[in-house]
Amino acid sequence: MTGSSFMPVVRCTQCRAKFIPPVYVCRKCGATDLEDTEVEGRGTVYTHTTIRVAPESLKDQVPYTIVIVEIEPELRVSGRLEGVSNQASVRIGQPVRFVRADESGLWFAPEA
Amino acid sequence: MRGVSIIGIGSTPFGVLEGQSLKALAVAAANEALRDAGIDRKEIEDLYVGNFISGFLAGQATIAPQIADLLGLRKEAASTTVEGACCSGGIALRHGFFRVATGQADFVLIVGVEKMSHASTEKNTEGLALAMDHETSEGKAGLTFPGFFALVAHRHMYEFGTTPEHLARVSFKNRRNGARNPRARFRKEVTLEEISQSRLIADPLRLFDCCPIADGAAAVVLCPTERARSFSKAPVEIIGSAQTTGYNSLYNTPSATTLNATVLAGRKAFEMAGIRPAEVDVVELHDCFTIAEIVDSEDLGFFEKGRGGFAVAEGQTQVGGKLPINPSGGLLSKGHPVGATGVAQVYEIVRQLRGTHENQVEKAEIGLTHNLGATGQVCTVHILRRI
Repeated sequence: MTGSSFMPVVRCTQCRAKFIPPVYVCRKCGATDLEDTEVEGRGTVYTHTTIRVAPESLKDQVPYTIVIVEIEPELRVSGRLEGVSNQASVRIGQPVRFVRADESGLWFAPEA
Repeated sequence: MRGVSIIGIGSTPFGVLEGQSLKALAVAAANEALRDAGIDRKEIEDLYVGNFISGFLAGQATIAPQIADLLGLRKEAASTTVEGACCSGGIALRHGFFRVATGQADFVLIVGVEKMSHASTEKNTEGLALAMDHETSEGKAGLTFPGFFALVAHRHMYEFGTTPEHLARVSFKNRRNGARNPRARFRKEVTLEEISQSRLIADPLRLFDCCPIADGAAAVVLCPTERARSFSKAPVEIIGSAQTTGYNSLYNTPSATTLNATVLAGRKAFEMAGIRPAEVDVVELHDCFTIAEIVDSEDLGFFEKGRGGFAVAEGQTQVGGKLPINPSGGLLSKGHPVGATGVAQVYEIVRQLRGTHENQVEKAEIGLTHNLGATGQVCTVHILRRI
């Protein structure tokens, strides 16, 4: 198994709810005292799509696949999925892991 | 609060309206609404203009006072532009509704307008994408609006067995309705085969699952219900008006198969109107994509969650069915001049309730409009009744 990468999240110091940044106030309890932390970037595909018509700035990247990944029951995040050759090979429930973050946001890859 | 009624309506055709500026369209729709109401324009006390993106696409901001000046409204009248992406028109109507309902004004003019077709596809895509929250991880990942609704579609298919054919059936029905509407951008029916073979935009959504851009404007005139009959033979009362807030991203929504802002706006509007969803005769809802019509029809309480696609396939939502949805052709056929859409939906429903629509639903007495902004971030629902 490849080494798991940890993914940045923000946690409320009061109610301990976790959020994907950016977050400026805890949406659950209203506390403003938030801390940066990490979670293990493993989850399953909650839903997916492959973008074939993109905004001008991303035109040279099509087709690209976007997934929403469920990390924990109340913690989902959107990102790019790498290492898939076609849409048919992506399925809901498929295990994926966080690999890196760059200007395109968070990248996930199918679990080996 | 006092009763508020619509006494005048106006609309330009929707489509590629070459040579007609944003303000020319707004003035044309407003003039038609004022004439229809039979009211002197100097009586108008408030103007609300729904517009999303004239600053970016048409290079023109501060359009409400400019439209007021071109219309020759009196200078004591307040003129205000409101913006809530694709929901701008619905929000404008709601503002006007409360001015009259609370007794602060007797005669209010609402205009929705957008000019898009002169700009390139890239410029329009970039403009529409301004309504996304770019700080979220899905904004950075390059999620488009078709992509957002494609994510909804895949999850809906997974949880409820909705099929690509259900999606195609929405497009088929709305294009057929649009063929009967002289205001629609697309007036040609399409076959299920043409729909299912059109090119993929964001899997599983194809070209014919997506609404086109358009130029267009629509307008309505409001007044207190107690005075409505002296202007209009067929006034239509606004018996429910609700606006709600959604989420900045799909990953933060509790469920990707429900747009929560719609659920809440529907509930609030039905409660205010004192009616149940089953009492509605005709609906114009925000079918920016085929899956949106299915999800909206469930979220508004017309069908059980997960059954929207099956209802379309069974013909329940066609004209003559149990609950006709988008007899105008909807956004899928009419096109979506963003700021105009919410007001245009009301225009179409008023024609239905007057019994003068080109694609008339028989004995329509109560109608509903549902207008959704951006990624479900803002929603308005209005319930209208013939009086």
